[in-house]
Amino acid sequence: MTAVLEIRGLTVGLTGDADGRRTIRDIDITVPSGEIVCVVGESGSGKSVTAFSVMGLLPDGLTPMGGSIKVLGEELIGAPDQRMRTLRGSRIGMIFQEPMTALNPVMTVREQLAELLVWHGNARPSKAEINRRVLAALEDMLLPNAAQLMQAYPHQLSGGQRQRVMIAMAMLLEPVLLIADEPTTALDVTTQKQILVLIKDLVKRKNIGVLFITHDFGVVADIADRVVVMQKGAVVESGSADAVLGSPAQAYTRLLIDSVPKGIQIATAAREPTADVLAVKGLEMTYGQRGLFGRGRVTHAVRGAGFTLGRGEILGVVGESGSGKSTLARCVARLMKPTSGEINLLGTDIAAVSNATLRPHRRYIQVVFQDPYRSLNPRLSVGQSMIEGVVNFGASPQVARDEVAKLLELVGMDPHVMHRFPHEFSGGQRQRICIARALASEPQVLIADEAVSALDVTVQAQVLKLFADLRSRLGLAMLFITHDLRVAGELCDRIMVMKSGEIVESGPTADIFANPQHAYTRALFAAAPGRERLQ
Amino acid sequence: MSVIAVNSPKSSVNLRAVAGKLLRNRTVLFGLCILVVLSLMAIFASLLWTVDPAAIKPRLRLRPPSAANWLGTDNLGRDIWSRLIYGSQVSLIVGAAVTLIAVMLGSLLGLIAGMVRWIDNVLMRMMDGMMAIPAILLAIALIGGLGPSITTICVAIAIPEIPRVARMVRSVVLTVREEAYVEAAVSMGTRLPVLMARHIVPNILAPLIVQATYIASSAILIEASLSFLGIGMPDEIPSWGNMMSDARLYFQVRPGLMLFPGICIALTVLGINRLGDGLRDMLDPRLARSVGGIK
Repeated sequence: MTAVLEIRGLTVGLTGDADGRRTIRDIDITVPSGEIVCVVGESGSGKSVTAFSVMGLLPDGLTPMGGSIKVLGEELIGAPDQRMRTLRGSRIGMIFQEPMTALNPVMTVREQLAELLVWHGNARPSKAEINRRVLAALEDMLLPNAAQLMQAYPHQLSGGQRQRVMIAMAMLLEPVLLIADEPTTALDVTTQKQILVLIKDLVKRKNIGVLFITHDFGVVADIADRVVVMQKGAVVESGSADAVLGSPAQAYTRLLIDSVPKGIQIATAAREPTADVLAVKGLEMTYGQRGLFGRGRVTHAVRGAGFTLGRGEILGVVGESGSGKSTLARCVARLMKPTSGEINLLGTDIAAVSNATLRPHRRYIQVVFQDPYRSLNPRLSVGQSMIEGVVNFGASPQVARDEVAKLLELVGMDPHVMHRFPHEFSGGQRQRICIARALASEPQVLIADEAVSALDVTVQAQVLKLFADLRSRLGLAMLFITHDLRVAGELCDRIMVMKSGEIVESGPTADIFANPQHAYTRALFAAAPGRERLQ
Repeated sequence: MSVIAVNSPKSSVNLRAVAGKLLRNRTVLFGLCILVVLSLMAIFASLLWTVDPAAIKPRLRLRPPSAANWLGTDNLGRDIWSRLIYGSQVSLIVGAAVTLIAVMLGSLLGLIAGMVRWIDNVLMRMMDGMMAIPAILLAIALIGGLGPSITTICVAIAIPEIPRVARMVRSVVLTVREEAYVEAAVSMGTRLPVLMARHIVPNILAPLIVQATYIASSAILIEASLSFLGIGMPDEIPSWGNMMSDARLYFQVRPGLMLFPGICIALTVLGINRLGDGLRDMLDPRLARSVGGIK
């Protein structure tokens, strides 16, 4: 077993900043052939910078300041650009997080793979030769109908197919090292599982080394042979996967592992749910319309959804992308008008009413969105954003400000931050502010639309605790939308599983976890990363 | 996540920062200088006139530059220098008035189209129709119908610009209203006018300012073209276009008659366009590398 990649004492800093801050310092990583080395860390830990350094693709403004990066003994730091171009592709393969943006939308799969063969080959291969090798590469990725797929454009493929094509491209020239930067983060869990299995299989068949960047310890547990934990630009712990996962030496590593949601409820309902605050019946949402003569495409985003939500109850809606869970949430919050159905909020049907009639009811149902970076207006101070709702419902700004100050305290923030602006806060802090803002109008129902998905695991764990805490203190009913069964399991009293717009299964969390009925629910469980090793 | 300086918080700080950056940007500085000189010329026109720009002195026709007539005289013996000064007033008024009309009406229509679905289609098809007619032809038709005067000329030049502004504003509104913070405001029961004023309009200002500079420069050009064609400013108003039109026949005898107003038009348009380019680079985070962060 030889080391395909050896990083020794790598330090990267801002260009021209000789003794200032370092983005990463003194990184040592060895990737042996036939092994997967996972680099784990939260956002800002420097894991991506490490990967970009190896590829020689550091963004403008960052330069390596010391150390060495060797691929099969060849030093990369200081290597001429031309040599790096040859190495990328032929020695080092790369796959990225978002396969849609990494593939060229106006070229077919065949053309994109062929391009690599033409550019990197010494003599231009014949057309038949190219076709043969492209086909072989795609079949290697266990893609069914590879021959047809060759002629497809990226937008015609599913997310999983795109990522397989990306891997096929990365592997086409038989590199010794594969760098994977969060390759499954943008994928659904079931697809993620398949891709992870494929990468593991490739390592075994081709005896390559993989540098796998991820933030998810569940993924690490599934595929890693060795683990490198990074924090604030430095390696805090490294070792074999068994050692690091089984008995982490550092407190930080243990914190990361403990923060991975395991689907074990952190808090149960404070009291038995009483009267229903929200009852949804036969909710339908269709996009598009039949054109003249019945043509045109109609998409059923939500079909006949129905559920009730009691005071102090948390209902989880779990599904993969395209399952209609977000559409359901947006309909219930009346951010869009459902095609038909009933949304009974505190005794009033708000499904079809006009905006003017709806306004007074809006305060009872509030939403926390996925992306805390975009849900606060960057031009308004946090305080201005937060009092908006309260002032809309008739309070004077002064009263609203006092109210909001209390809420900031409730979500664990200093009330004095009100005059500051969103960009001064971290993602977790912003999400707390968004939650406080949603609470300001004293809602009965809170809809959390993937509210913790964009957060680092440690922050995610804190926000989940906050939700549980708010529920028991305020008796808030919550509709908790997530793609992650594990997260839903930690927080929710009941869970609904959605697929293609339909609710395929629903029931108390414990029942669903103990005895999933629907095949799809079982598939979701099977795909949850880190299931065997972390529990 | 990069923090974009344009979005930076307190407006007073923001203004000073932008002003500072404006003055350090050479492109902007160049444009700004020309505009300042032109504005001073226009404002203090009455002090800079050496001879009444309308006074006709047939005996002094087509004179070369002299102490009395700094840039010489035209075919009716009118003083070129004084007429140039007066012409700067006309150009500035036209540029400012057209920009004001087009930006106000255009952004109003754009906002409505962006926010109200059913009006959007009707309005935008009308705008498409207007854009299908060349601006100069539309202006000629309007002036023909309304009769030439400085007001009708401004209106006639402004109307073809309205669809362009409306389209741009609409496209920004369509993007911004999908932002999560706008949805959050909707779910908090914010009324439409407040929603627009607080969350949507501030996002439109930067592209609008840039667009406004281009409208101003093209308005000055179109006015000059119309006057040159003889359907613009009435003859008694000495605009740069009128001057060039009159000078056409005497170009070989006195090229200056045509060159001086021509240079004035070119410099003015160049100045405004440079200012617009500089502003665009600074206000558009996608183009301003120095402002955006890395990854």
